Amino acid sequence: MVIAEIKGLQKKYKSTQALKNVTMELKRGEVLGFIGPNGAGKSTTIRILLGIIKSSGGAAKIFGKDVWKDSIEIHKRLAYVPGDVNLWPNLTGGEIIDVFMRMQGTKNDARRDELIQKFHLDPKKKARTYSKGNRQKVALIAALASDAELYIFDEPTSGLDPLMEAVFQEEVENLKNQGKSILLSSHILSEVERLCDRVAIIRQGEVIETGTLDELRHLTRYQYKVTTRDVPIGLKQVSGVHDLVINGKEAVFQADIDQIETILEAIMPYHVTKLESVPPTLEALFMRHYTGK
Amino acid sequence: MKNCFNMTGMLFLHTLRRDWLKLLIWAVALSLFTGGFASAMYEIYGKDPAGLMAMYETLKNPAMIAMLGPTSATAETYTVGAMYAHEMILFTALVFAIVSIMHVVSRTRKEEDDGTTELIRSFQVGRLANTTAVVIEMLLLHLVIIALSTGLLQVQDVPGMDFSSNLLYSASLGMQGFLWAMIALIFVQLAAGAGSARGLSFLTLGFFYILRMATDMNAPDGSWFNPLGWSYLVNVYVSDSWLPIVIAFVTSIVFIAVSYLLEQARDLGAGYLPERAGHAHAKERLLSLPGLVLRLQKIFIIGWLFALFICGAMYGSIFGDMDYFVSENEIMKQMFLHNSDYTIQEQFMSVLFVILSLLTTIFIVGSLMRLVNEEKKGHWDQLYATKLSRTKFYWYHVIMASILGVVGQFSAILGLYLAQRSVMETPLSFWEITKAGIVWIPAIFFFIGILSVLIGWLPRFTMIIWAYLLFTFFISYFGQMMEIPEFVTNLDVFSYIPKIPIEEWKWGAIILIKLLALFIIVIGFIGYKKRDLVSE
Repeated sequence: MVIAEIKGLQKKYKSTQALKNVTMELKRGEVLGFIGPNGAGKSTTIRILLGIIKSSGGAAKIFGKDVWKDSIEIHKRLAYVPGDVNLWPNLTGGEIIDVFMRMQGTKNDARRDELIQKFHLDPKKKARTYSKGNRQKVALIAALASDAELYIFDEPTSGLDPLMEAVFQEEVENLKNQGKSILLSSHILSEVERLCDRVAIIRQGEVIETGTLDELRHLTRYQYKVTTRDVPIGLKQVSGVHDLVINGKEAVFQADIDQIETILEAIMPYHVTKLESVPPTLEALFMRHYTGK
Repeated sequence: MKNCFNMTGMLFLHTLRRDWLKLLIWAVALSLFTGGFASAMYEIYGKDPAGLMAMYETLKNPAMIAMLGPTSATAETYTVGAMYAHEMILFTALVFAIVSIMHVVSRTRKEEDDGTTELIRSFQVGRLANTTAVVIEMLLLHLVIIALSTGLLQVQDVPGMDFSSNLLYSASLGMQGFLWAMIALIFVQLAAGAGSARGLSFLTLGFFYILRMATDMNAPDGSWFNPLGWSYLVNVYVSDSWLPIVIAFVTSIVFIAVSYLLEQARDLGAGYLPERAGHAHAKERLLSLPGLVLRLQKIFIIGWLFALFICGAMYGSIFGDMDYFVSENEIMKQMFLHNSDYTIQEQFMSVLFVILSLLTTIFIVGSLMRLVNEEKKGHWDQLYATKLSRTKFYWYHVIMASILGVVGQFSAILGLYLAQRSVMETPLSFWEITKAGIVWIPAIFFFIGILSVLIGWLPRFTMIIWAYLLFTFFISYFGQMMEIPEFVTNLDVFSYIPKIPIEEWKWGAIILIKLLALFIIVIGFIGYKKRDLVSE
């Protein structure tokens, strides 16, 4: 079942087109990673999904409902953590968490207290004394303690230390195990790699790739490192081999995924003694999409 | 519109919880401001018909009408109430408008800019819920103020000020507060951010204030088309008309509807008015610490210099009628004619500069306070991390505050001089007024000194300076009327300053205070140089 369905979403401002074509979907029980550089349109997309700003073209539905017209109905089943959390300076963190949970519609004090403990938040302090990380914790605790079907996180860990980041990841995994759906926008690619079932990559207002990590990897090249008994001169002529560097009997090259068979056949005559292949990291994918390398 | 108001009640309670103390203080302060002076006015002017007539003549002066608005009363119907309303209603309306604009913008657009609204909207909260909560809050606040102010006026039981008029007077001001809150709400939708929403609201307020100056003098009917005009057009204590309140109320409803429509159709964080793009690069003059500090305070400085000039001009504009006014009024005679060597104006001026100097002091305390306030907000952190030394930070701010103190005082002097020159037959010379004004500068510097020590040694308790300022104000204002022990008066630095021209210029005291100020500024510096930086 599809939780969120976004088709050809556009957002025009007077002189700029912030979103050109955002198309992606989030299925039930899935964690969708939403990655892209600053200014690519991640937050704009999320704000449209929340009905906070209005799209100027395309369609976006959550739970089968229009994100602008039925935003209240949608919000009853959703929890959100923005990247930049701003709180009322004269209320304490604990008070704010309660206010947020009330507005979300959940009452679960035990879960709340457990999370406060896990995130090491001092709920008695006024929000004005909190650092960015602590403000983020307030929003995270309120969201994670909420009983929602869809969780939207917009760079939720940008202010957290690695320990807290781990706590967050653990909580997201719990949600995933409970069959909740999660949209996770993030810069921390290792986090996305670990948590997400599928990834959508956005560039200049356009989603240019979506798919599982494996699917994305298929679009790109694996890196091979071979050691042979004879110098593998013949590799130079094989199509599908790129960036070949031969250093004596060692060769390093990028291989097109659909040419592996031909390439391997071509190296066999040189007597392979060692073969390593490295799947591209998300970072390599990301860099390739943005810098073209 | 479906669900647009979802959770309004909850948000309203939440807003109240955040604001209740502030609102309570405002309600009390504003009610005191509206209704608190009636019996004092009665004591001074009202008991004596001649005094009332003198006030009538004074306030009929075009300069006074320009500032305070007109009265519909004739010489026969100019009662204490009529005078009270005449003197108070427009100015109080301005105060109400300012408070409303500040609050509405900070609770709506400011939160939107901060990103808080975004988080709130992600819950099942309607698009118009927050705005509606603020509308309800403002309505409630002004109803409470109307009740308190009416009660306050009733309790004072001034002859000729009855319940229905008291209610109308309070309602007129409460209505102004609500009306301007709704006007601000429209600019909240139109503008591209909290700063410009606030700026546009104040610009509108200023525009209507000046517009009514013109219409009040030349075409009184024109003031019916002016939201500020609806304050004094109720003709309270003269012919009591509720019509302007009805008009203002209906207009407020229209404004609410308009702002709803505007808010519905716009994106969060967006506005309708284009925002002027800023400079892509800093100009050269911004790239030094003095340049930066000056730029950060630009609006503040310009605003204060203008305000001081206007205050000087306000006092100066009544110089012309003073002879007549005082000769007609027994109490005034006693107050002013105890020294027949000097004219009324000279005596008045000597007292006047206590007030003007206090205003200048508020100005420079506000300016120097930035040194520590910006530190608390963490704005200096990145600058402290550069080669800029604390020595520079400290002395730039102190020197700037000192220069501003002198400039501010001269702004008031200039306003006073120009205004009195236009209304008096034999005006005072610029030098006479300057002497009366600059004699206070050492006392103003003394405040810089005290604040410096606080900044250097007790950065978390810099608010103490306001208490001392309040104390000085109290002693200067009421000191003569009340029996205050001498050792208390001696704590007031203003009490050492000779009141020029009726007292003699004292070089000794003036130089001593200056040296003392410099000395404590240095003490403050020693503390500032070695203390930890503070944050909120």
